Parts: sequence; C-alpha cells; structure tokens
Amino acid sequence: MSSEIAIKVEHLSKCYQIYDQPRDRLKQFVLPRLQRTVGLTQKQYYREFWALRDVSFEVKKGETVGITRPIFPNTVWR
Amino acid sequence: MRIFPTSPKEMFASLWSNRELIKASAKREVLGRYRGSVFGLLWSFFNPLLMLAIYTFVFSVVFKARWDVNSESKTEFALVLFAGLIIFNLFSECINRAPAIILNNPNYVKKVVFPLEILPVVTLLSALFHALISLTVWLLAYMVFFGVPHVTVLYLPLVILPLMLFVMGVSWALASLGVFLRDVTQFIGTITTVLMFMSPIFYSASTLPETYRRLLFLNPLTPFIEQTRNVLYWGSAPNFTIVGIYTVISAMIAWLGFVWFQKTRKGFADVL
Repeated sequence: MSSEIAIKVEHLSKCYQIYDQPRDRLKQFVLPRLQRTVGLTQKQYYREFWALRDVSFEVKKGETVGITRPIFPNTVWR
Repeated sequence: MRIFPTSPKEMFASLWSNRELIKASAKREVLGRYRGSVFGLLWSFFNPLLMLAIYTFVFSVVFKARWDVNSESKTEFALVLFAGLIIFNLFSECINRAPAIILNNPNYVKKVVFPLEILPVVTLLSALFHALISLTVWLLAYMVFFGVPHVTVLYLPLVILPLMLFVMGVSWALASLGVFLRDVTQFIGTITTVLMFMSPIFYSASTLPETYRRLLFLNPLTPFIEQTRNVLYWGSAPNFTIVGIYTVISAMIAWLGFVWFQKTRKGFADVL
C-alpha cells in the first residue's frame, strides 16, 4: 500500500554554481549568449558543486529520519 | 526559480505597490543622517546656506567673477552657480551611492524577500528632499537680493522629471554592476567630479569656443542645468523641445536600467 510511505524521494540532485570572482557571475550572464550568437562554443565561468546527486529514498510511516553532515566549523558554512 | 518581470509597466507598478515602504525608507534615510546631532534636520538647511554664503564671498569678492561681462550684479554669479549646483548635487548624490547600494545591504538579498528595485528610488527621494531644501535657500537668497522670484519657477518640476528618470535608470544599472564589478565603487567618485567640471556649472556654456561647446553638450547634465537656470534665474520658459526629447530619452534609459537590474538580480546572491 502506497499510503504506508510518508516521504518518497527519487533521483534528487542539487547543484550549486560556485563563482571564484564576482565578475565571473557577470561574464556568465553576458558571454555565453554572445558566444552562442556568433557560433563559438559556450564557455562556463563557474565551478559546479553537487550538494546532492541522484539521491533516492523512502521513509515509511512511523520511521524516524535524521539528517547529518560532516562537521565543519560553523562559520565556514554559514 | 523566480522570474523578475522587465516590462515598463512593471517598473511603475512595482514602485507604486511598494510606495509605503519607499516612503518609510526615504524618511528613515533623511532623518537617519542627522540622528544624534544637536540641530538634527536643521543641518540640511544650514549646509546649503553656508555653501551659498561661501560661494557668494569667493566669487564676488575674491575672484570678482561676473556671469555676464555686462552684468554689474555681485551676487548674480553665486546664484547662477548655485542653481546649477543644486541639479548637479541631486545627480551626484544618487550616482555616487548607487554602486554600493546592494553591496551594503547583503541581508536584503540573502536573508529576506525584499523589493531590491526600490533602493535606488529611496536614495533619489532623499536626494530630492535635500535639493528641495537647497532650492528653498536659493529662493530666499533671490528674494533678499533681487525681490520676488519669476513665475517660471513653477516650470521646475517639468525640468526635473526627466533628470529623475535618467538618474533612476543609471542608478539601477550601477547598483547591479557594483555587485559584480567591485571596481565601479572606486572610480564613480572620479567620474562624477569630472562631470562636474565638464558641466556649465562654474562657467557659462556660451563663453566656450564653438569647438568645445559641442563637447559640453555630450554631457547629459548640461541641458538639465541650462534649463534649470532658465526657469529659476533668467525667468524664461524652458525649451520645450529639449525638455520633451530629454524626457523621452530619459524614460528609455530608466527602462533599460530597470531591465538590466531585473535580469541580473538573480546573480546577486551568488556573489555577495
């Protein structure tokens, strides 16, 4: 019975775009579009950081879930 | 992801729906500047008064400057200069602060849902308040030295309107650029100082040789300053063709600045 499942997650991914310099964000707005219109290959000005990649799980009713992570000094991740 | 609308209608709709917030923020900004000082809001009156007194002294007594070669009036130069300066200060106060407007308020970007597009307008309103006080000082001085001001003073809002649109557009563009290119904050002060000396504030455009005069009109501030002096000091109606053309162009600039701001604002949180 499907009603036994409280939470169902399938193939969940989350990617953050990390910019080394603020100006790279501006480049990302403008340059790929320009490159596309003049027929050049589109460059990417950010690094990808996959926080989640293809996560699937089910939580049934009555089950307990805890979310944890590697411990880093809090200030780094704020 | 949220899409931020960019239509010209949205530009006014957003400002209109946030009018209470804009009003409260502008009030806070005007009052906040003088918070804790003994004379408080009176400083916004004293400052232009002192400046006008200094200009009058320096240009009429020290430099013995005359705006017009045939003119006998000693105070004419100071008043003509001050009229131009009111317009320039309105412009420069907004433009100088625009690049840091988002940078200084990262919490508005990351922690709460805030209509960021109103921030340049808040600065504009506070600058407008100070311009209004300066204008009062100017009119008082005019009454003391020359008598009743011209009726054409009433045309002033018509002259200021395109300037407001122009300032809004440029402020939106600079507020966004300042986030991504931190250098903008560094050189904007120099740019406005250059613009000050390249505007006919301290001299009359007609005293320049023909070749340079055309250069002067490349400066977007020149017509605003000239038209303001027309209605304030010379008592003539503004050149409606110029005012009309500038209103249309300024409205375009306001909209382009708004579009740029709306298109790039989703990147603010990535780099703040």
